[in-house]
Amino acid sequence: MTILESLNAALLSLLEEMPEVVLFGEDLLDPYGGAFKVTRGLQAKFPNRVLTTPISEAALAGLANGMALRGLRPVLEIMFGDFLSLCMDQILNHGSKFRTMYNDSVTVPVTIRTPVGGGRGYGPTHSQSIEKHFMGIPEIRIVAPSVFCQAGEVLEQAVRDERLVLFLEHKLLYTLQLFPESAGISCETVLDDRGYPAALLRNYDAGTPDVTLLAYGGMSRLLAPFLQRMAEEEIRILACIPTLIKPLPFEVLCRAASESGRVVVAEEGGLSWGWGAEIAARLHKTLFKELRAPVTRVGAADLAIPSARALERAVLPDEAAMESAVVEVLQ
Amino acid sequence: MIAPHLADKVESSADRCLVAAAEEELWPLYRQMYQIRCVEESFLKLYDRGLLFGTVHTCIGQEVCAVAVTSALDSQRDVVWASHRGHGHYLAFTGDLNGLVAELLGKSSGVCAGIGGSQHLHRGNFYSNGILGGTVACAVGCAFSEKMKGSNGVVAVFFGDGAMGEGIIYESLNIASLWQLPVLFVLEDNGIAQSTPKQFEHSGDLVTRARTFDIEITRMRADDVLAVHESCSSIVDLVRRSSRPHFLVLETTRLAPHSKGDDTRDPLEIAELKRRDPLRQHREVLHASNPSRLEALETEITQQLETSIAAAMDAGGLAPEDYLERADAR
Amino acid sequence: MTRFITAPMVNVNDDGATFSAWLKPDGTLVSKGEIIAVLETSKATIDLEAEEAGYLRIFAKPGSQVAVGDVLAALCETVEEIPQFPQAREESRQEAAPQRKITRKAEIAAAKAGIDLAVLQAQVTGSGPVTEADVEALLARRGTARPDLTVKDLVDDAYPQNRRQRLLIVGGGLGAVQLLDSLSRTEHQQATAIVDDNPSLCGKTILNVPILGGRDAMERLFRDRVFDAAVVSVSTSIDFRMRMTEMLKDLIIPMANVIDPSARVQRNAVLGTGNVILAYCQIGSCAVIGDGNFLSPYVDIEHHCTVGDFCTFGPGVMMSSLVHIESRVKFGTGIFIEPKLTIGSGSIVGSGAILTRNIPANSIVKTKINYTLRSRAVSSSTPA
Repeated sequence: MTILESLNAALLSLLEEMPEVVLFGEDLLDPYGGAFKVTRGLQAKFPNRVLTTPISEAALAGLANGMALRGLRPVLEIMFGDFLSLCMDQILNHGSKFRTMYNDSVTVPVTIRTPVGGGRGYGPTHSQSIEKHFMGIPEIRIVAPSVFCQAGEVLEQAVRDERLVLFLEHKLLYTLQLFPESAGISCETVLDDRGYPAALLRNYDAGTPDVTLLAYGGMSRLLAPFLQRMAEEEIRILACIPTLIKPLPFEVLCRAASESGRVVVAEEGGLSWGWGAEIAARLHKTLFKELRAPVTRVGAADLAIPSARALERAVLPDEAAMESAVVEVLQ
Repeated sequence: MIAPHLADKVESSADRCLVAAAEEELWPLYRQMYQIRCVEESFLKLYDRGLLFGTVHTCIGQEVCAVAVTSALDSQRDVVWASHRGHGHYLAFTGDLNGLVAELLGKSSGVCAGIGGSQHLHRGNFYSNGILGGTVACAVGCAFSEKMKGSNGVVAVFFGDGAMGEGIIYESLNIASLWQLPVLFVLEDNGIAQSTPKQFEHSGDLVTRARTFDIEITRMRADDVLAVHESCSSIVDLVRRSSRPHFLVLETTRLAPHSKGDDTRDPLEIAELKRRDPLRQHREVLHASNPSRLEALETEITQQLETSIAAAMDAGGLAPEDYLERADAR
Repeated sequence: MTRFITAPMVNVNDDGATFSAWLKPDGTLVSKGEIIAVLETSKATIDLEAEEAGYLRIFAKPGSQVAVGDVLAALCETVEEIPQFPQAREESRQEAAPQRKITRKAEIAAAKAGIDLAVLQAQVTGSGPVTEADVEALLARRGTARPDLTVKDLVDDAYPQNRRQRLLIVGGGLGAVQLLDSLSRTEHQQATAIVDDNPSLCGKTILNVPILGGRDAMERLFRDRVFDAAVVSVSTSIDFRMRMTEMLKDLIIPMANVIDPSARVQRNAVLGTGNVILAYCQIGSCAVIGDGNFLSPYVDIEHHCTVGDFCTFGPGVMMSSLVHIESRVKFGTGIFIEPKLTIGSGSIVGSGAILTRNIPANSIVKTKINYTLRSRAVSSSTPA
């Protein structure tokens, strides 16, 4: 089953099982079924609860907040993650604030689904991993399925979450199979303390890992071949791929990090001020004595993501970047 | 050409006189207006004495809007969204004096335990937030919910002429009309945005903007609370029955500063505005009719308020460590 | 003028040939037309003639694969002339010799142990990639002498006693200049090559001695008999000197002492190997000096003193007799040491120090030198 199929099936079952679920976003009308076809077939089945909308991202996010306050569970699709900036005020100043500023008397179970990431040559405003700009917002959750989780189940969990969730679907994952066959790699799933799954991949049978690699979302597509290649280089890697990326499922990350004491954090977003920076700061504080090398980050160059293939490749992090970081922490 | 059903319902309240039959209806409305005025004036005094932390935006002079509209709503099923200038709407819609006073004084007995403060209030079906325009989209979302749930509820959202500069309002008007949602948009047009007069903010007529989205418009001067209340009752009824949005423009006057001590208007102009204060005019009518009843009403309101303030001053605040406990990320 | 002999196009079907044998030994004066080597292709063997007369300087190794255009040897006008090795040949050789894969983990382990990858390649036997375990095994073997192959044997075989010892200078920096200067006045040694890890220096010369690559090139140059023994010219980094010495030992490359002719080594003084002793130094009678030390000019190791390994002396370090200097001590400039003192290993002694008591290991001796510095009044007519 592909990630796309898994997400589509999950949305269908949510609509079937939870009458309070409403799906809306731009171009959801069947037969088109959304720009990336994640909602295909749903509007035809549930014409009153799957709504195609005007191009008004700011108001759509506001609508979702209002719906959630009054008992619905809105699932809003934003066509490209880059457009989340238009929803920023509703996420930052409304949806994320209501629960606390109204003294816990309301919940805001909004899910905003959106495709993110580059690799398709869509250029500066359609390729971003924009989540770092939202990671600093208190109270919201950011969830990203990887190829090493039941993506649909994670989406269902996000929709059932009582908090506002940004659900980030990397464009390059849609057509990939869940849990790809990868010889010599073991995959174990653990749950973090909020119940979101995290995958632990190991490219070795016994002993302790040399390096712990922390990554999420789109980076997961690179991990199986990368870990296989590292095994050929005798480098034992434990990759920890959480689906909840904010707030940090810190216990899970910390446990994985302490297995090796050498940590590489890989994210597709721009390197500065990102996920890796937060993890590095917290790991250095918590595991200061156990760390055998500074936590090392891999991310995109702090530049607009260019359209041209060669330039885009140069900006976005790849296996080579992960490899040099792994070698760096080992040295 | 404008379709006949879209023509403005411009009603003038100037030529209306308060007839005796209506006078009895005026008493409870005046009571609410008077309470709002007293509460907000005491907030300003508490602020001056350093007992009120933060800021307040009063609706002194605009009480008619809050009272006339919310008194036409059903607090059990209808929803109200107010903005930063929302004390009046809160009091008029929820009647929760103690919750508001304690909230402004930062006490745990406040309606939001002192977390929300002046601009961020929620109780029952009432919500407010300090971001202009954003509340309008939320209100439209609420209306979607009410419609989908079949509650037959109407959502009234208050905003000022200043907020009409925010783009999200136009997105919201479009969707509310497109999806036929039961929203009553209430534009309180006081002609000034913080310190900037309307002519420096807006081109064209604010009123006609909603018409572009095929939304019915009513415009009236909000001086006579009874007249506005009556119009609102029929508008709310229309919105409820038709499940279509309505755009109500209430021309009103802000007598106090935007917040505190930030009024740059000519004192003579303000004095003239105060002379035409609707609260004062309504009071004159009631005083002429039954001065002792009026005195009793006003004494009751004042005493209630004093008791409320005294109780809030004695109350404790939310423990900081309890608040910090709530963080999702630890 | 040096003429290079390159591998000819011998057969349209072959891109190269096997180099069979040199018919003349290195250094021979050959005449024009003389057959000097044999090449073998899939179809035939081909004789290689000298295109002109000259002293033969051999690069290509018998049995090796050579591509068309590869430099095989040089013909020099004089016996002293050092042919500069063309870069292209090195590249083609790298392609020609398929190397075993080294895993990244093994690479990292080797780097940590200071084992050069070339050494690793050369010393690990077996098939499949070179692994971390191979590196560990190599480390375990270290220090145990190989009975079948010793440095002494190689030295004896390397060159006849009647010829100047040819030296490889490791490091192409300021130390190399001093060494080459000293060597230019000695009778018994000559520098023939320099290696430096800075790739931009490759192909350049220092005092007419060519830089022929980085440390990876040492083994090949030695096999090709470009030099007989090596010396490390880097004075500043004791660590580097130690690492390079270790690598040279691993490669079974002998080390040489370089002693400026103006220095005096008194009777019964004992020197190890790999020492550099520059102008006007004195090594007193019965002094004992270990390996890999670097003595700047005017250093006086007095009689009956001992010096361990890998010490660096700045100019003008003077000591009285019976001083015992342990290993890896670094001295600044202008230092005096009282008799019978012990200077512990790993210590650093600052310039201008006067040592009057024992220095424990790993100490830093700082000196306080007070002086005032002020601007000199300069009149406007004084030229700047």
